[in-house]
Amino acid sequence: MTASVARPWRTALFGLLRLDRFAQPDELPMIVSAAVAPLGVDITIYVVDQEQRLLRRVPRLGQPAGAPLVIDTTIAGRAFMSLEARSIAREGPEPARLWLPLLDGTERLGVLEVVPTDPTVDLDDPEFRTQCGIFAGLIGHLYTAKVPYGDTLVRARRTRRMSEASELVLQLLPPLTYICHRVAISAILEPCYTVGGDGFDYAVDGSAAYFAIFDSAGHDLRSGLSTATVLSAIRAARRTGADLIAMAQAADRALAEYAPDLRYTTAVLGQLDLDSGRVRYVNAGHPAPLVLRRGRTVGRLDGGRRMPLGVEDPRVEVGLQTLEPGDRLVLFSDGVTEARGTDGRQFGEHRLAELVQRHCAAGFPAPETLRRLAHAALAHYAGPPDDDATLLMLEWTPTPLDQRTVIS
Amino acid sequence: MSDPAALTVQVRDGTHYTVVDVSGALFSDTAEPLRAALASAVTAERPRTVLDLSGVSLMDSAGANLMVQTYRTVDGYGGWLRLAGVQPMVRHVLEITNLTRILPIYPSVHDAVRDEPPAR
Repeated sequence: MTASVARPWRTALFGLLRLDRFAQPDELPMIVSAAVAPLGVDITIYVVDQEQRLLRRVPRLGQPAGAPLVIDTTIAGRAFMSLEARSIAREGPEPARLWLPLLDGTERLGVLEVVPTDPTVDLDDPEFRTQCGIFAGLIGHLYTAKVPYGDTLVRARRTRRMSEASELVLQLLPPLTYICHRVAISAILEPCYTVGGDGFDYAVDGSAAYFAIFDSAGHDLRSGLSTATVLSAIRAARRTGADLIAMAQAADRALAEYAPDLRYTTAVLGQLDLDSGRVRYVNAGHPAPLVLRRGRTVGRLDGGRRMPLGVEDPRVEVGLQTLEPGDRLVLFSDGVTEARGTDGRQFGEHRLAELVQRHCAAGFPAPETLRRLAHAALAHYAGPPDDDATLLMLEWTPTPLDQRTVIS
Repeated sequence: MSDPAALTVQVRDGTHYTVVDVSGALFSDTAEPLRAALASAVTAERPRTVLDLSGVSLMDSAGANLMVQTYRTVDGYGGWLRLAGVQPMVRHVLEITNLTRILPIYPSVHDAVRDEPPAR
């Protein structure tokens, strides 16, 4: 897309960049508002809460955050779910407003509420929408860039205290979603406030897409430490050119050397070749990922078996699977499939595959599909979840992506 | 009736091995009695251990992790850890994790110790 930026919007873009440099994280809502004021609109930032159920306003200095918006039942939520702009006409004292998805690249952050302060501004004008969309892209990048410098933007996403293990593990994970030309990767981890030992990782370089899922035994800080150790050892190995088997062995060594009393970690480590669709993988005692083709389960990554990371296993070979364009891999932890309902029955792999199929067919973007899947699995627990539930979905799209089903 | 979540553990000395009878559900929050029993029963002098799991119908990864820790100890002493009477849900955990490669499963305690030479 090569839309040109109209002069007033260009001024706003430059203005925002200039104001941003020395801004504190908690000043972001104000500088956004200040930058667009000359355009006759006001913009308010809402971010998705950690559990992805609510959109919470990032408060301007000295102002209350106000009541959160429920994703499943509001227009703002619909913009978030579909990744498409939604407008509401003026109604009585309520001004017209436009809800725009807020993204950092392809990572969903929340929504922007655009309200005209000048009554002649037409929120449905296609040109206005385009310019506003470009501006929203900049806000998304700036938001993510500002997060590390304070607690305000971190707290804006939270509804309660996060456990020590969650603070540790969540910080180590890559963003939940990454969509590039030939692969779409999206993940979700629940219950996010009390994560134990689950984790995931990915990295796309050249024609190789690396992906991994982890589950350390237990559900406390010790499990989190095991996952942190494994993740760090594997990254150190990977970044110096190690292959899958050597990555797994690096994790074995790290656990044995630094943390012999910690727990073992089950994992799947894989590499997708973006040219050929060939997947190479090692499965270290983890539930076998599913291969979905046109909504049906056509295979499982059940080769490449070895014992969990931390339990050295000389008997390991690399598993192979060839994907067809559009195929999806679904990696999951046993907390998803072993969720027990009031009837004592487990959520199960079959139900997981069925739900992936149904949600994919519904045409939602990948992160929305996973949000729904994770909530469905969590809802299956009779009481509070007693295990982490992690899902990672990867779609190989060697030809340009269908923009509508992935991202608007 | 006993608490179904509680774990009961009994240690019996065989001629040249130790049998640890376990019954109940083996989870992270119930595993302590087994951990304590194994810690005192497994020694350099008696490193050959059979876990009789015929009374364990459920186990999570913390239970399997305890077995791996025990395996490391007995292996270091030149002994072994064998599992007997493994129930379907427990077998499922051991098979998914491929841990049967180091934790061999036998139908009964008798089968688990059959190939061992008698103590002199």
